[in-house]
Amino acid sequence: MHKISEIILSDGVVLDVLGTEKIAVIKELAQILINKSVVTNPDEFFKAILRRENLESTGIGQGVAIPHARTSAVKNIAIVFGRSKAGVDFSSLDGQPSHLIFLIAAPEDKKTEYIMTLARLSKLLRKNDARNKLMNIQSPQEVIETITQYE
Amino acid sequence: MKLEKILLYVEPKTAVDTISRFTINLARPNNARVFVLSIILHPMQKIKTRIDEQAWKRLYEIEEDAFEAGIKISLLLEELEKISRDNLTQKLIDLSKSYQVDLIIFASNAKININKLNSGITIPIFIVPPQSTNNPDVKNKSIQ
Repeated sequence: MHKISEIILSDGVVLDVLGTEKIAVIKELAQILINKSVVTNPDEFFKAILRRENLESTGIGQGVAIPHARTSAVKNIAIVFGRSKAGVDFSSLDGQPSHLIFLIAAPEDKKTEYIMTLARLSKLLRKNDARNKLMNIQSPQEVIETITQYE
Repeated sequence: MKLEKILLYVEPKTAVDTISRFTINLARPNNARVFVLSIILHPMQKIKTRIDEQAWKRLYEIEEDAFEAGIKISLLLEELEKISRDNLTQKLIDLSKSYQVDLIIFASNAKININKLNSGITIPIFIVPPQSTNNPDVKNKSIQ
């Protein structure tokens, strides 16, 4: 089972996302996965992501959102990260905007790894120190280092 | 009976395949949203972290089943610093009121204060011990 720090793309970190609403941010982050050929069928991937967003609140509270999709449009499991200083509405149950956004893409046949990745990332992001550090980092490399430190 | 929101309580470490399928099947014809709740009771940080991961895993497993069934779902992982029947009951009351749920499905062996629950909320609660929930003959243990 991969660690979070092993599957987050080193060039998949956006310290200040351009988007101000969730679909725009998801598209911005997904574009990285498309450019890296992790996502092989963008239309199908967006469909899977949007279907989930319509059914769930992928904002898990405390300023964190983890939009995710498991679909055959994905070649290998990967995570990209975006930060929004202003915050984005991901319909979190605590009503707070999300500042730390992790987009997870997984292939259809990797259900166990996908669920464990979601669980480990959610666990990591419940740590106040980890969230605070991610809010204040200055470089993509620091994101990987912080995740490595706290996982 | 209105059934727009269901609160499903599950224990972090116990598989509840049958009861989660039951909940999904109940939600589907009513187009109800399911709030899946797990509560971490242990206050020790080291153990809590491990249970935390197990609890999230359980929640995401149910989320995936619900997603495949097209059910609206929200995940809740709450913490209680002290283990007690009253604390757990109060948390159920608070969350039920906060999310205005119409039914609680309590898939746990944990003890709750039925009298307190009765005085706090007026919705049905379906209590199912988790060891029964993988048995297709699972029976309703208590309906308020």
